[in-house]
Amino acid sequence: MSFVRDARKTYSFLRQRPRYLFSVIIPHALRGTLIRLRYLFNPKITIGANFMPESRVRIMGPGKVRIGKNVSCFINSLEHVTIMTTNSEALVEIGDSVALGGVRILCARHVKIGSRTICGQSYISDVDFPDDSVDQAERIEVGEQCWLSGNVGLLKGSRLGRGSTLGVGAVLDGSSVGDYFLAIGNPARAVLKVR
Amino acid sequence: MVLSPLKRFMNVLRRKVWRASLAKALATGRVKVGANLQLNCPFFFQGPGRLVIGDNVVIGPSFWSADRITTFATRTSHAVVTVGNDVVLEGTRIGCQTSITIGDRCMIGEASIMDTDFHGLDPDQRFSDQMTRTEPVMLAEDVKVASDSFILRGVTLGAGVVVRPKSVVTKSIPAGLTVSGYPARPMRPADQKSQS
Repeated sequence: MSFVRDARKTYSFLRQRPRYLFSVIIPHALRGTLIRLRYLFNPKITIGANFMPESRVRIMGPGKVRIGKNVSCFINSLEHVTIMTTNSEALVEIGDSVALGGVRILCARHVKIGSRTICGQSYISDVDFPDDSVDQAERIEVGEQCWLSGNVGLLKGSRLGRGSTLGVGAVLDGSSVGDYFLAIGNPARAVLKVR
Repeated sequence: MVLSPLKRFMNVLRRKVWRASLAKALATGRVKVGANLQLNCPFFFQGPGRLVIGDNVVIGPSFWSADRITTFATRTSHAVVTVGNDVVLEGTRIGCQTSITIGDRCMIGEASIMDTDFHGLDPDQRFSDQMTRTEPVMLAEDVKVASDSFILRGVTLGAGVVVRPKSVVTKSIPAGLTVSGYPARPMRPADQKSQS
């Protein structure tokens, strides 16, 4: 019965806004179920329970895509969520409770997004061009509880530590940022230790 | 530009759809539009806040793509977006939590104007309203904002400020300056460049 208790706690705000159930939660859950059914017998793509996309989600290419539980997708800056893998060895891992808003992922080797991360409109690519070989790709790792705000870029070889924030328009170009930092600029540099 | 009769007819139909989207927003009672509004894209208004638009305003899509329309999103019931007279908005995206004021004769391209950070900086306080910084944004008269630039919370742009493309404005700018870069800094006037 813990599932019922969790659901009650999560959706307690529906008492104030009952129309939210019909305008948002049910349509998004239906679309998520349809997308999960579509990839049910596809061994390359696994999507966890409670997938809540606001709009269409494009998953393309021969690589593996693993999406965790309670993931939601939004339109952000009029951009849909797009995940593209260029070869069969590519692996995109998205953790639990991630909010993907208008994220474009281009993956040739490995892109990992930690759990409870919030993504705005962002461009994540571990290879510069879609037809580059695997040797030119370098893996990207985004830690847990990160926040990628609008118009952000993560280029190949970059690493974002746990709880870090990328400011608006920042481009992380192959460098790594530690835990609990705010990084801004192009190329992005850590300017503030949050904690 | 000479259009074929079919394209002209399609434009008439499109304009009717756009006018219908405007009428839908006006029916909420929270949108006020002045005289002589020129609407070149669907009218996108979202949320429980209010929107006041002056006279002779042009609202259109981005120069680059017809999909990138002008959007007004309000997040709270006390949010007010005010647009002055003779303003041109082309693909501007406005996210408002307290108040955003755009003065007369502004020209704004495909920029994002937001008066809130949307989330807190601390990883455990991402969704709390107390830790999210929210300050009103004000643009004075004759401001020009170029495409792909961002205007963040708490910024006041003085009269006649020009924001160059791809810049992120994080602090208030006094009147009459041209700014660019990330974070946006004033450019040196052309006559002073030769001295140093």
